Amino acid sequence: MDGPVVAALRRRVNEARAAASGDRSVAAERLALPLLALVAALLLALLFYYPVATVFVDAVVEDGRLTFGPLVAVLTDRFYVGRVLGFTAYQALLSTGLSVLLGLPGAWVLARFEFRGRRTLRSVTMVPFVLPSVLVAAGFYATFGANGSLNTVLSALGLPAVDLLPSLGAILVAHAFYNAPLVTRVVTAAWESVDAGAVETARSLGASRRRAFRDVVVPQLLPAVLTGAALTFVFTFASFAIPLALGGAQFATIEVFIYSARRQLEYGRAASLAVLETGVSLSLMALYLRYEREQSARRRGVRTLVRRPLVPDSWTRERLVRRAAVAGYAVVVALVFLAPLASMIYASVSVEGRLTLDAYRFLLERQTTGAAFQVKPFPAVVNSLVFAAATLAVALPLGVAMGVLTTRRFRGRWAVDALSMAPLAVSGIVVGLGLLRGLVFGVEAFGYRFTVTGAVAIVAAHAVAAYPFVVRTVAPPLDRLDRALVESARALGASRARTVLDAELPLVWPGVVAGAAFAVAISIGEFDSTVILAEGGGTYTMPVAVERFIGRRLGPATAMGTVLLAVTAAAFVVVERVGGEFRG
Amino acid sequence: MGSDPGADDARGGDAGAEPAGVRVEDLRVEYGATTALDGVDFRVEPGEFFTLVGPSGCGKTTTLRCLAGFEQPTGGTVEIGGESMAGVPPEARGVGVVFQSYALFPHMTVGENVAYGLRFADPPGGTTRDERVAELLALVDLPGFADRDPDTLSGGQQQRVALARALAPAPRLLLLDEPMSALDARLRERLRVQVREIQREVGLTTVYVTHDQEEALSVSDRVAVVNDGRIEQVGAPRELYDAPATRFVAGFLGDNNVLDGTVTGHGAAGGGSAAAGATLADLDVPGVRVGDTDAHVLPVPVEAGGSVRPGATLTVCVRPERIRVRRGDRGVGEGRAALPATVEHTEFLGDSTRLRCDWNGVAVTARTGGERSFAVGEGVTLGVDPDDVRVVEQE
Repeated sequence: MDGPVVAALRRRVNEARAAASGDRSVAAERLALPLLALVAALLLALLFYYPVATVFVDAVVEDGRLTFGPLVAVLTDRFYVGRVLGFTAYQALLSTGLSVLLGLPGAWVLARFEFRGRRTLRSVTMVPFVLPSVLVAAGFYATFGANGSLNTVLSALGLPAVDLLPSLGAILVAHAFYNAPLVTRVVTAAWESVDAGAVETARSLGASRRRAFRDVVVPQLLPAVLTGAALTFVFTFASFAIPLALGGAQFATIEVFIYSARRQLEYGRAASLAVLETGVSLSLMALYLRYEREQSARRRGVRTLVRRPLVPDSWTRERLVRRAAVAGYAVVVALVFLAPLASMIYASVSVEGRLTLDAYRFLLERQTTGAAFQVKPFPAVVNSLVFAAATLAVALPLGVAMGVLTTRRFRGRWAVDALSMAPLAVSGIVVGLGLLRGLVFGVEAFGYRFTVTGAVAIVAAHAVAAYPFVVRTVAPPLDRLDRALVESARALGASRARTVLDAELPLVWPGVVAGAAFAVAISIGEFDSTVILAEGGGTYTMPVAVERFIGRRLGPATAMGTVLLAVTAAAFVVVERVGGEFRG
Repeated sequence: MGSDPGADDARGGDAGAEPAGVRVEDLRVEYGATTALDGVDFRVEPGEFFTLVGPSGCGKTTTLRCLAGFEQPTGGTVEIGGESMAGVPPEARGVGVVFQSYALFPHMTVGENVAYGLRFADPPGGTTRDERVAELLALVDLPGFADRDPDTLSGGQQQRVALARALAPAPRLLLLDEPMSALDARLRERLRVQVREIQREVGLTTVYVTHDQEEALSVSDRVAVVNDGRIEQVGAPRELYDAPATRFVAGFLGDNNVLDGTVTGHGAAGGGSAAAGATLADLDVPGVRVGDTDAHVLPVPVEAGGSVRPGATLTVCVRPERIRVRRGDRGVGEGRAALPATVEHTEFLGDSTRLRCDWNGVAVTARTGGERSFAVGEGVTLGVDPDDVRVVEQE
């Protein structure tokens, strides 16, 4: 057809225009996007794909020969394939069920009721996702541990104390803490995109209220529920810090076994387990992405279902029952989400019901008198902040670049999408292991040996963990931007790259700021790869410090956890504020 | 399969009901302090195509939603087929609804969409469900589309599926809420003819909501013009067009010149062609510079011996196509008032030309046949037959 002709003409016109303006920078700007793509690809290859590949090599190569020995050893070991993989999948399945159960009523409340603070509550569902996993573990110890607030309450009521840790139940509830809000978010979004007209049409065609819900609303929510469940399964399948802290040896997942293999310097076994786990995770993710693509029909201009006031003008029996359900759910939410954090803070300032700062005093003493091998609080805070700043410097440009690229229309975009989102499906342990084996231990190339320090590797791991969140916050608003805006800018003489800087980024700036805040929070809270890379060195961070205390001393663990919570919250706020001011 | 005997089957087996009349009296809807409907009254005869037209936010959709049972009125009554609808849920009203957004169930095929209402009522005339679906899809000109996904259809096709779905259980009343607004102009024209033909064929009482006055005039048996939560005027399209009862109706339906003025005397301007029993008043339109003769005065037919006396303030209107335009000061014909004016702007519309003229300081729009062209700045004479001047308001 006329495609090539038009393209050639357009190129000629562009060249003529560039020549007429006599401006070489125009040509350079036209190259900016491809260059950006290249740099982003190289960074990803270096920080993620190469290290992860070295892990896989460890699994199939022994003494420089391709034998598949370690992998075969693990795959034929009934203990690993049956017991470890089985338990990992089992706890992930239960966690998924519990998360859906806890998350669905939240979507109902957020999508169908109007009340003060609804929007805030909707945004708050994002918070558990960036809370450090060890923080949640510390909170669970403070709540459900032998000396936790639950037992305090029980003994005050004259009831016998319970010992809930370590237990499978604790792991499941902690996983629900993370993933139920995720379910709530995706299902709320789906519920809000149900056309009220469709429900009303069903009613006018003879369906009762309940029937219309079943026939029209439920089928439109199911894909979202499945999405939430699939993501929850992938995340909890690869969960590490929670089972490590709350499950102990009895309830160890595959990640915990990878970690202990690495501590015993059995890299072949660690790598083989990592291959096994990543294989399962990636297959699930691929299945999910395929399913999502089929569901991608987007609807615009629908009239959202009208939200009912939470406090109605008049009360009927049905309204009372519904409000009672909301209240009951609120109690459960408070128990699962607020109690651990509150208990943690309380435990850090109390001993047997008496308020004291002993725990913080202990941390200060440890700082001044601790032995060299012991974890000290001050370096942990400093390390965390330095790594967070460095992570931001890498993850933000990388994330924005990937966000810009994934919203362009070009052939093979799905591949960019998939490759850039793969880090979400590969666990921090595996990335950490790869960075350790690939970069920290060194690479031989061109007759030189390249090595990086543990600190650099930690930043790399954090950047890999953080940048998908930047992509996730930047890409959707970019995608929603009116194309006419971009076209207007181009018609007014801006090059494609200038248009990104002058029009698109300023318009999606809130997304960029949110992405930056997430990147910082993720970096500060990252535990999985940090603990692999910080082993024995001076590069431990706050989450690693918390984990060292958990299970040994509740006071210092919760005090360190409280410091971690405060620093994470402060960093989050600072980034949002500074970002807001920068935009002007 | 089949309809549940319980609450889901509120309409019972009485499918294929006779078309129902509608009576709406003093309908009120208030949301807190804002009033959406401020006492709406109208009747729709069985089998009639009745249209509610008005600007967005006027309350026409709210009225429709009260008929469907989606909205609870805060006052007044709605009767369908002679029964009060107070407390009757939407599923028990026997009403078909089509929305602007089509609102097709995205998780069902076209056929399943059309068949949905048949889960709660047996197909009329003893046909099977599949036969009924095929029949309806043929009616809306989409035979063989039953297995398609709604997403794969164009906007016009989706809207026809929505219509078929609403008609399938043979409702006694069809409610159409801006069903064409999302479609392009040409498709809209074609589809509204089709909708009207289907409505006639089925003999179904229809209440149609639109903001498009042309659409309202072209398809309806009768039209109610809604403004600000109230009905301004109800009547046949021609009646509303020729004899608007209020300033709003005069300005809203079609192109119009709406002028205010004060009556200065009787019969000074123009000839004496007023109809029997009527006389002519001279309307002094403010803003018109008083020049020589009666060039600032418009003749207005008023009831002989009626209430219009010198000093009364009137709002009158003249349709642009009723104004005769002549070059220079050429004669405009016996019995017509001759208004000297200058052409300020011309719009060629194909079958006619719209001229915006300056009549001594007041803007007057006129339409002439497409074959004649006028230049901007050209002096013309506008001929107005007093019979074409309508009084719409009087103080």
